[in-house]
Amino acid sequence: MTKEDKVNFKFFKLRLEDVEKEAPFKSYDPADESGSYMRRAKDATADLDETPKWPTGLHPVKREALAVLRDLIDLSENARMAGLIK
Amino acid sequence: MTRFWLRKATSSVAVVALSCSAWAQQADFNEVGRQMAIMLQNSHFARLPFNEELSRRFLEDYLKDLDFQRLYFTQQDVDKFTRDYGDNLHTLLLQGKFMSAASDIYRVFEQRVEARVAQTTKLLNAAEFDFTANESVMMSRKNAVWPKTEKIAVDLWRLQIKEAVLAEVLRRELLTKLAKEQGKTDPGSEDRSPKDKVLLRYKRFLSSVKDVDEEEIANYFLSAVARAYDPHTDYMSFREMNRFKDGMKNELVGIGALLQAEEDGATKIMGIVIGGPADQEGSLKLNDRVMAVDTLNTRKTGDMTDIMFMKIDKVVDLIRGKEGTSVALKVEPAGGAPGETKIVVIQRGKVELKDEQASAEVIEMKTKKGAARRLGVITLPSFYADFEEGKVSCAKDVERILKRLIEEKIDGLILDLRNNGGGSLEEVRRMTGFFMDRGPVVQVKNTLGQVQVKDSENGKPIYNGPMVVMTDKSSASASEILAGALQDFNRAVIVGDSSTFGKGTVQQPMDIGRMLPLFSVRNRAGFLKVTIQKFYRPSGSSTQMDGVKSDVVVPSLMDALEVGEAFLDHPLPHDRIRRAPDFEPRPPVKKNFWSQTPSKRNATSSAGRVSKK
Repeated sequence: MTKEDKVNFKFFKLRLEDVEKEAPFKSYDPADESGSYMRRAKDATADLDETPKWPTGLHPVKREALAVLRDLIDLSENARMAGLIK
Repeated sequence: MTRFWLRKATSSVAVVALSCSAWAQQADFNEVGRQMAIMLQNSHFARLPFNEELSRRFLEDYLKDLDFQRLYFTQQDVDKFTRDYGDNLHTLLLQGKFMSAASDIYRVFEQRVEARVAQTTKLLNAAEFDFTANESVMMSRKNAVWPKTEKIAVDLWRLQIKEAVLAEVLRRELLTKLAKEQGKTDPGSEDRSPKDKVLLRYKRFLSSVKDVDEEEIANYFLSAVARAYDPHTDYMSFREMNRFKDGMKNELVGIGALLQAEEDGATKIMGIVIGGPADQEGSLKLNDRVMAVDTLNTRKTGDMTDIMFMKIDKVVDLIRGKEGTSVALKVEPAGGAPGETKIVVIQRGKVELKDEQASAEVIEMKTKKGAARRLGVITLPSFYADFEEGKVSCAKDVERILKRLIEEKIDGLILDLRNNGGGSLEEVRRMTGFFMDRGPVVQVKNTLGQVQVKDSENGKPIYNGPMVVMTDKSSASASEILAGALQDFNRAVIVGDSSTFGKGTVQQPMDIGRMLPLFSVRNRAGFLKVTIQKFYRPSGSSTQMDGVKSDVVVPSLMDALEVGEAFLDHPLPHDRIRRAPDFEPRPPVKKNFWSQTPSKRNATSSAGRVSKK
């Protein structure tokens, strides 16, 4: 799934401070969890956690939401083409 | 201006900031209780009769707050409290005499905790436990009966301690095994023995139980009284109110460090805000252990307060202060020689909680035909707002982000409201208007049954394209208004857990100090956050208890947990009112489309595309 994601997805991030500066969206890897505003102490116990991460760092709810939105865009475009919505 | 809050109770985060200051005089809490009792009767939505039945609920909830697992008090204690106070706490409150009852019960609790911790010391110093015996322990005793006698309580406690030691032994064994398998250092190798760890845990708890003053006892008791009305009505002490205000505006004044109470009594630096005051000063490091605090940085020996075994919120209060002032910390450096200490002086400053602000993503996603879709995602952790100065507004932030996303030519939008516990009613009303034509966003009903319809502000939406809202069991209150309105108008598809939290009530903060008699001391009287209204979706249904049900349910562990309004004590019931007069939903995209499985949905939508060619 991660391999497919690399072909199918590109991720860009924008924080509020970037909006204020009119800075461009920055490309980022959602699987990389280091992009926080706080440096945190290393937790040796948490480091041993073997629970697998979600592929590409995409939680299933977000993955499904993206799929639903894609379907919704298709439906809307089709309806617009058919003259059902303006 | 009146401010309304729509937020479920949240745990406090120990990011250091805000006010210390001495408080020589403080309000008479008996009088505070009397005024609060009057305010509850006059303002609470439910208009509960202030009588013996409610008094018994006050007592039950106070005991539950103190001894949630029913391990300290015995049935004999409870019977005595019921005899002495069960039917008259409401009268004591109105007579301004509740503090003697609250303190009496608290002191018995303190004695019971002392006795249990003394027993813990004895048990852990005695011979090894026999883990081969056939014994069992209830993991949750919240619905168990109180131990009938002290003898039964002592035996229950023995089992609790035995289980705590066994759990610690098993935890160590698991960590050792995992570390060995992964070729990493065993984190438990230099740790205390399981028995020492358990003993320190309970000593720390005893210390926190003993380290309470009159203000804290009043806080515990008045909170129980308020929450007996509904789970979101609460008494907030002066300190809690300051933290709540900071949380609402996503900004603090402090040193920008995350603290954690250690079992051995010290306070450890677990996080440092990048660019915050501690980070800029540079001397304070991760894993440093704070031993004492000179809140005014006078450098006089007597002004350095020992914080060993002090409750974390009190430590936070000592470190917090006014912007521009300095605090001195006595610190044991991480990795330093035994007994080595240093003094770190940091000037307090503003700390923005940037992780709590609105943010955005653009995700380019390829369709099956290879075309790229640009999908915008706005993440909103709460409906934050600065109620005092009006400088911070999540609606303004989302508006700016949304306009930028439109400039980026997004094909569709996801609004992520997961873990968003709510916030300002005004902000959610404004924000809903960004996504739909002018119309009703929410209806509020007061205690007299009068219904007011709140419309969106914008004449035309800022964004009118395809839209999905992500929710989960933690999406509450203001999140439920937004998700509910967008669902009612068929404006967005809701994706997530089976439903949202289920909070459908509005709270208003009331300063109890302002209600105290003329010339009385008002300092630190606290606030009553009281439920004054219920809210309803444009379609007329309340989100209370039921929440907003997802159109597309993604299986989730949260659905198996006891999360939501229905699992809280004394929730108000679900009900319906009439539809809002101007409620005119759009036609749905396709009937029952979103309840299909993704593969079926894809087939249907593909078929749709093929047939139109």
